Amino acid sequence: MNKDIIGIDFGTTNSKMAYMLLDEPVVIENDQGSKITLSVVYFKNEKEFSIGEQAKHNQIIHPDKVVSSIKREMGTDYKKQVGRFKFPPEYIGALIFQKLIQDARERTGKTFYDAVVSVPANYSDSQRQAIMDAAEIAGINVVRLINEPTAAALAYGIREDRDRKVLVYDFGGGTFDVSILSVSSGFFDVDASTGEHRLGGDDLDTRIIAYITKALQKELG
Amino acid sequence: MVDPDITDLQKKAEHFESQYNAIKKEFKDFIETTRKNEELKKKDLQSDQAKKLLVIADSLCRMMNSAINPTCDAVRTVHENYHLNIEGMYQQVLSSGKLTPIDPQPGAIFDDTLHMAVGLEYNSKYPEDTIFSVVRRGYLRESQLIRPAEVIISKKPREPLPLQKPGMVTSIFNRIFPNRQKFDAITHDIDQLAHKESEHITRLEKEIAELEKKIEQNEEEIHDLSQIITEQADIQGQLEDDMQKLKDDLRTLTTHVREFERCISIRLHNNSLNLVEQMPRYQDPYQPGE
Repeated sequence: MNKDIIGIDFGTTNSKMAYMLLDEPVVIENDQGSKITLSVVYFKNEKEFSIGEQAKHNQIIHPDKVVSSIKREMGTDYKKQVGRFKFPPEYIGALIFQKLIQDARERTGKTFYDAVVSVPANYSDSQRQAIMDAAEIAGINVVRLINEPTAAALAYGIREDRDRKVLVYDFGGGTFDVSILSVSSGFFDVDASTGEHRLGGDDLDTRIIAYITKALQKELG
Repeated sequence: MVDPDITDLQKKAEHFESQYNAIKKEFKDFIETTRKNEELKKKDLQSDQAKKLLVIADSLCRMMNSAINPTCDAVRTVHENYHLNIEGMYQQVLSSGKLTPIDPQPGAIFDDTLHMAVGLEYNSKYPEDTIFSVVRRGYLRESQLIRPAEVIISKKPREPLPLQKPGMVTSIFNRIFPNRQKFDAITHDIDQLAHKESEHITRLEKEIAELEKKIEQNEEEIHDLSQIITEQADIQGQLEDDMQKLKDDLRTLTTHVREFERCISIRLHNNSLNLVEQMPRYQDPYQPGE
């Protein structure tokens, strides 16, 4: 029985993966040697697609064939039309999961069948189910869905040894979330969680680009 | 008959042996993975180092592409030497990092493994979806992509949208409410006029701004010219003064020369008289002495 479990952070903009190596969590790099993989899919046609950096290279030239921020559409009726086919968000998410698993296999030499996937604390049941379905399509068994703030708290070394309240501030590429966790009797409970789902580092980038463009236009005409 | 303790011990031994084998296998896998990862890490480190060199390569590239066309021969020679030096430095940076530039020609086919589209250019100069221009060169290190070339993609010029014919429902509606149709037409005309007017105003505003700019420039030029005129007038006045002084000097000089000549002539006259006086007098032998 293979006991290796991969941890997947399926993000709006970037996705990451890690596994336990001799009781220590280790982040797995992708085929490009980068610790983050862009959550972008480019459909060259109905059968061919690429994921990550290569997909992003096509975002401007073929905006209709590139899907980004698919996490926002999880659990909705969104469909991506490519040729004759309409792909649901679960399928597009599955392609990203497949790519992550494949890269992890190449890097570590291990085949991961089981995974722990992190999801936003305020994700609804249907959204959580959509993530599970995406993983299942990719051939991964999700042993547990973990709330993102809980995962962040654990990563920062907050253990269940004493009762306390923790505020987790997560400013990601596409979303901004703030959660209050209470650690009691060895459990993490999400007391409150709120956030802005259309605000992230990417939006800051866009604003900075717009500001510089405006300033240049004003100066150079 | 086997002792139950021995059976237990055997079971335990088997258990520990299987555990030992599992750990041994895991450790072997770990060593293999580490060996494999070592190569990958080495490559990653090399590509990280190469990425650091890209900052210098980009700066040199920008310096090489700076469009300066000096008219003076001496400056042109200096500029050409400077250009050659920079190119040499660029080549040195590339060879030290084992970098190969990705610099596709305009009209080349877009390859998403090597190129990254950063903009679109609507034109008919190059075929659709081919490279129009390169914004920033990309680099390869021993067939490993360090950075894709950032390119602008050529797209066909956009055609204006065709006018939509009114559908059946609109036609019926128009027949029932002819005034509404007229009202819509008038509103449409007003909108169009307002749009044209606003465009006209924008254009005029732009022209006014340009004119104001020109006036400002002209005022500056006038100011400069008036300054030059004032300076010229000052110089002229100074020259006139100098001329007057020179004239006065000339007059004084002429007076002096005349006086000098007069003095000389007087002295000459006196001298001649003296000479006459000093000359031995002629004594008439027939005249009695005084």
